[in-house]
Amino acid sequence: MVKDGAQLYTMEGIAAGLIMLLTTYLVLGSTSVYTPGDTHLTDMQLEQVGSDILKIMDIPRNLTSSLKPNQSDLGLMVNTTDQQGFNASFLGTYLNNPNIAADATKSGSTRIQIKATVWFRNQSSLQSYQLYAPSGNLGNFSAREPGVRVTRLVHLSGKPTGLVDPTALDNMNNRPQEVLVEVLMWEV
Amino acid sequence: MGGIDNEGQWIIMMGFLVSLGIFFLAIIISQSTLVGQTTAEGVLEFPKNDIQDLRHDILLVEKFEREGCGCSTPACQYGTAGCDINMTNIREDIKQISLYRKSAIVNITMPQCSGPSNSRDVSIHYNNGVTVYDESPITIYC
Repeated sequence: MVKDGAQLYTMEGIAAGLIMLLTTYLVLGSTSVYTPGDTHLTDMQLEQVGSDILKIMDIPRNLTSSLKPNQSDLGLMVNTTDQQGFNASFLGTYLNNPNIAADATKSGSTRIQIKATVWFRNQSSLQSYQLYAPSGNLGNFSAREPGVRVTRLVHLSGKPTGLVDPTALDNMNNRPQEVLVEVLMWEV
Repeated sequence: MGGIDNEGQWIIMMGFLVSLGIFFLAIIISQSTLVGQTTAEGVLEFPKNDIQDLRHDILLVEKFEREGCGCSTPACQYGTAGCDINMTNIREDIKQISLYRKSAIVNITMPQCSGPSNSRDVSIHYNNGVTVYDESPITIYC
């Protein structure tokens, strides 16, 4: 008959081995501690939607338009500093489904807020001016998601017009140039 | 162990092993959320939109500038008033904007149109320290 008295010691050996492995694993793993604050997870969907909206707004208009054929809606808005047009197009036409927007307005929320800035290069440095800023309710500062930033390069043939404060463009070169439209989006 | 009855050790030992097994499973579960998070971060940090925008903009503006200059022959490429077919200023705009607002080094080369087919090879290089993107040559027929 085979004796099974040694099984207990075998099991004990396995358990001891597991404990040692576990200890090594925990010791080696303890050098990096991940906390939720380390992860910087931004609102990926909002970022993608924002980028897509800017992309759509930057599609050149119809060639038969009375405007210059190579001009897009976005280029035109930057060129003429059409603040309300930018807001209406970005938020009203593209981002907010009319039905959802109506419901949101009823409950006193405007959902997504945007702030748009234009960056341009003068001789030596980068400067910016404001294209659009929300006027009223900015939302609850203490309890909102981090904002996301979406950008688009826009081609201008010269200096934009229609700024409330034209001195912001004093250093801007009057030449064909690229500017960066930067839109900060956050949920209210 | 003389006269001591050690049958109870089996029960203790098995309980111990089962608890270890559960502990390992718990570690695996806790790791799985972290894996999902790092994967999502990897997707987020890839500057897809920046690269697409850069490429689209350069090629579109190149076409505008070239056609705006009315330069279909090599002879009229330089010195025409108001004509920047090599996009010196525009390339510098894009470089500076990328560097300061995107923390990315961008280099664009825009050689003269030449050769029997009157073409030029445009190249785009993008590096933000994590992602490197090189595209060359993009042959454009002037």
